[in-house]
Amino acid sequence: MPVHNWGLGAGPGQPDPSLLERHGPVIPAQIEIPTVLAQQMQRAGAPVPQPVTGNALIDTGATLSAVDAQVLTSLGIASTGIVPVWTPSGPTRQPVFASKVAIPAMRLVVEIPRVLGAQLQGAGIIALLGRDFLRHTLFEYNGTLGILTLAY
Amino acid sequence: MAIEPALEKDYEYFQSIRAGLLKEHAGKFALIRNGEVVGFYDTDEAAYEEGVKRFGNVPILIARIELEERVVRIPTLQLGLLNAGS
Repeated sequence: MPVHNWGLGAGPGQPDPSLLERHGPVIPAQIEIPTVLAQQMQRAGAPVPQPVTGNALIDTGATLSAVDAQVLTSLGIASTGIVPVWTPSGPTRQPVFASKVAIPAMRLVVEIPRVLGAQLQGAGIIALLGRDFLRHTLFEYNGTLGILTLAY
Repeated sequence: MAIEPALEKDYEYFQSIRAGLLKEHAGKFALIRNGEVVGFYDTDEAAYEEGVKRFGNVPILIARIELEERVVRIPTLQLGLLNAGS
């Protein structure tokens, strides 16, 4: 079972619990077009959009993952459905998109059939990884030591 | 993000036939494009693969056939909690 630890801190091996508390469970991630779409583009001789790299925030409170709208636009992924999304003023409908999330540090790749588009870059992240992502992993938040662990 | 009008139409079409599909296809995923049901699949992924093979990278509607739609909840976004307190 591949396991990877992240610790925000002054240097390697020096995780700082206060930094984890401040920034939350943020890990380096890569957003790509779904494999089936990339294969189809390659067969058609079309250029495959380059993955977008950045930080992703793990969010155990989210039923669905979200990807920054600009990232989805740059990858050119067409929508695959509409879902009702809860808001304080009642449900609204929003489009969803298939995408692929990779965690390069541990060679983890998860194809997610539906993610929401959201404005995330103001928060310094490209994705919010919800329980649809986490269902493929074992995730540990060690606030005492300031360490995140992901395994699959 | 904005919903494409064609996708909206397919969504409305799905809503109109959903109750009728429940008898034989409950729990499956329907693939719909231009007001026609292309097929029923066991998983989201299988429906997407078929959609891409048939139509390419265009808007398609993949919808789970169930009595009530599941409402997506992402409190971090919907309550504006990203960066709250920082």
